[in-house]
Amino acid sequence: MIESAAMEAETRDALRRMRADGVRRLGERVADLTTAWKTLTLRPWDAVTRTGIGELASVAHRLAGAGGTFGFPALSAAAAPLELVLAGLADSSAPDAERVNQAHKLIASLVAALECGASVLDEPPEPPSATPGEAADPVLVCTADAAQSGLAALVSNLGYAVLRGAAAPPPAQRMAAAVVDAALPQALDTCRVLSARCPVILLADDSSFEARLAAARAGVSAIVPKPLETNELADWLDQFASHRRDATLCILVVDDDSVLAETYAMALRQAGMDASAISDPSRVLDAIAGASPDLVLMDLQMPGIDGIELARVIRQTRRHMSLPLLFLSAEQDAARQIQARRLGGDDFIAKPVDLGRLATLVRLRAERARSLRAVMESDSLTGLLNHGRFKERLSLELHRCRREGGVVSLALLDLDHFKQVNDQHGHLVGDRVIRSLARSLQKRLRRTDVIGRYGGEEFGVLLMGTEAEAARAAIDQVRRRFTALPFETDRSRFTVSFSAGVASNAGPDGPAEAEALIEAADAALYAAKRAGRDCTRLAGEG
Amino acid sequence: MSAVLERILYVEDDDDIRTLAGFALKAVGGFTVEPCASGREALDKALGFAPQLFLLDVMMPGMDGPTTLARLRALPGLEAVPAIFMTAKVQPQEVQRYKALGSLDVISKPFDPMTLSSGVRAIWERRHD
Repeated sequence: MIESAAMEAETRDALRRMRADGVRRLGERVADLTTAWKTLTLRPWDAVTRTGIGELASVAHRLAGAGGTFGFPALSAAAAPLELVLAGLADSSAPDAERVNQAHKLIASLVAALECGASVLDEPPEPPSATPGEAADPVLVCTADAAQSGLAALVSNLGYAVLRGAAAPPPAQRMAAAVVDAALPQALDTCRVLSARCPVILLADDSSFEARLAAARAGVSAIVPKPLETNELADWLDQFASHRRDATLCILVVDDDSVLAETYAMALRQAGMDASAISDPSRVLDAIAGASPDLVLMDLQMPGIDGIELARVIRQTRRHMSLPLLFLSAEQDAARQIQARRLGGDDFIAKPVDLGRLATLVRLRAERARSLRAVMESDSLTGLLNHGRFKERLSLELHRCRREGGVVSLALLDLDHFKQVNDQHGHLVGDRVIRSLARSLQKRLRRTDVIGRYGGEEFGVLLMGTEAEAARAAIDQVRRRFTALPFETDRSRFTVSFSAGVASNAGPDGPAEAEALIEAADAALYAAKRAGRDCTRLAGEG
Repeated sequence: MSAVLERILYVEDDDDIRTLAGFALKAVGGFTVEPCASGREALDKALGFAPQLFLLDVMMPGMDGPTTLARLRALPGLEAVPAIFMTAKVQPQEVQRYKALGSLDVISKPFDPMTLSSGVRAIWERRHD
């Protein structure tokens, strides 16, 4: 254990020296690898050359491990796929031009990564905590004074864990986002520090262009003007928090060269995507059916089946009409690129591939396709499933229960006296209330539960594997929090409640069909309204 | 009530990383560390060192981390020695896979030398949970 500050300083010094040594050695290793590669490419392709390339693959492997440790993550990101490509080359009986080009490109990336310099080492990029946290990360709230502490309560009410403080928390602390009050002294400096770690939302009095520009330069991602509009803040928080929480993007790579296919897949995995690679194009439909990818990345020129034919085959299925297709292509075939675009090729990436650019482009395309699909299937105001899609899911889940056994509960929720909200405060405020309830349901229920906007002010929630009593408890928990949530307008402050009816398919007499279950939940909802509203009733309960 | 962790057998093929992490475990954590450059070396040294914990790099040429662990655990008296893998940033499902291979947890690379020891100790202390 470190016992004194002096010893700690000594240890830090020793570590710093070791890191400096490590960095210097990294430079030497990259230079040696570059020279060795140049020499080998001038040699005839024989056993000696191939052994030499195999040794370079091991060097690349070590560089991949050491790069990150000594502050060069970009070097690791190029070295890991380089190892694959070199190992593939060492195994080939003839030097494949494409692989050689890809290796050239990756070695150039190594050198470039080294020249860019080390990232700051005293603040490591990853906290040393072992398992990546699955719980949602908290939101940091930085406000000037106690009068603003309402902000923390508000963020907490939106379903986020709150960290409070006027300064940056320790480096190991992960954050979904930070909310900074512009009234804080040196607010923009705080933003600048925090923006390296998470998206920053600035609550600003001044939303002029100049103020926005200054904020942008301080790394601020979003500005919410004061007086604070809760929903706007909530929308941003949802966006930033869900960006991290969203399921991993799933990518399918198709290239007849299995080494290159795996190289691209590895680069995508390093960028946090879930990528699988196939080298037999005839397996593409099975692979799509198996993995439901968000995007397919494929080689335009493949022997046997080429990329254009493959695109045509994929597009023959209606469900795959909107699946993004990204082609890898040599630059010279502009005419074929046009043809591929006609078949819905979304973009082209030149070979040899810049793996960093590949990962960025694939991520952008796949995320965009995902959000478009979500828009098509959801209610435009709340982002929840629309009426049709919700009933579809309900039928599907009940069908599954009949087949495999299992219980689900359906809750129907209706805002109390919602017409008065609209009449007194206007439809815009009414919409805000509806969105707030949608958000409360999303926050407080499990991710496996299905939530839909069933009608104007009516919501449906399908709670999987949940008996009616437990479903009521879950809905009641949402109800109590929601009823306590104040809405503010220029003129007034008010709260809104809702009533709910719950029915489940459990028991021998439980409704097994969607219509019957809806009817039972609706009757329970009616009973809740009659019992004075702001409560939850079970089907069959007096 | 667990024994205090003192003796760590640490296997890492990269010389620079091994030097850095080995020093950090000794100087910051106060552990007694036996650094090994390969699975083979670990097998040679393990019995004489009597480790309380194996700390293993996953990807090593020749014998990788999981294989090394399996062979270390086949040695007499080392059947129940806990292990921690170190590897590049991983997805949660991969962590599960490494745990299934017999590791208490996974420490992701790159690591911070100043907090590596407390990370190891925290995993060690959680091991009976």
